[in-house]
Amino acid sequence: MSDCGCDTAKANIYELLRGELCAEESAPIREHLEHCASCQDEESACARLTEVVRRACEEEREGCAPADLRDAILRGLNAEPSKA
Amino acid sequence: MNSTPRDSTARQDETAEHLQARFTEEALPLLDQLYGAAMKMTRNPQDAQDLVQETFLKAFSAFSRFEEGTNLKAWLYRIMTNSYINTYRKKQRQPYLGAVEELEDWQLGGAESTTAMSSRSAEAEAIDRTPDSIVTTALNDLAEDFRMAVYLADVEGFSYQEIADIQEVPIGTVMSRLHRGRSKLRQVLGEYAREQGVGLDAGKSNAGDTSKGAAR
Repeated sequence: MSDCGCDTAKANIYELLRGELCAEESAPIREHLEHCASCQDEESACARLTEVVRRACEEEREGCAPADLRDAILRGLNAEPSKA
Repeated sequence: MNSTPRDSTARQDETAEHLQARFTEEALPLLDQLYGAAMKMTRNPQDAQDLVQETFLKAFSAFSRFEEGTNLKAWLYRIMTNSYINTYRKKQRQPYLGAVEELEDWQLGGAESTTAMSSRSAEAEAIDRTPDSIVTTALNDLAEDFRMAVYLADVEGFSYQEIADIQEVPIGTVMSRLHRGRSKLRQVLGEYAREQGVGLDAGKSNAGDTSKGAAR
């Protein structure tokens, strides 16, 4: 298995982190990451970005749906039966 | 998981009462999540409530055709995305800014060139220290298709294929939206960090920063 180089690694790090690559695609990138400090830093910046976005949005939406929305939906379900 | 296998004939015989009970049990717990996403789409609580209500009612009326065992959450998101495009995007009467995205310029590596951090590890630390409110604002400022792609991937954890199904676009478009959206976020977070003096490398400040500094 050969090293893919920085350009390929950097272009695919997000896909790698998300598990979107097959083994054949990810192996050369993982190999490159093992010895390239610059790409390791890119990997951690990429991972942190996902983490802060998730953290910020989860914080924001914590139990956020208004209680009367749920009631309105339930009333709607009773008024409009599903077409079987 | 339901251990009793149910064939299609049995499903058709499902009583309206049972169908409603099943919908309430399976779909309604996703209300908070869908409302969060609706807020990200509409950026307005009243529109978000209307959109979520419309989504649940549409989903319920189609629920007998929903294939059990497939992804209910992705199905609901797809209905919501559709409703949003058909109702709210038109209502807002804003020029639709989605067309430029087809340029696959994310492959050019825009994110790398926009950061003037002393090192990548400094960038990762700076990203990590960004206050939630700054991240949320940066995300809200993204063009809608980019914003929702990032939200569906990074917050909801949907796969590229699921996002492609929800947004009804090819996977290549999903990747483009994600890379462009995330590049922009990185740029904004990087600018914020520099304003705060985080991760600044005095010897390497770029021309843009110099002119900005002189204007102050």
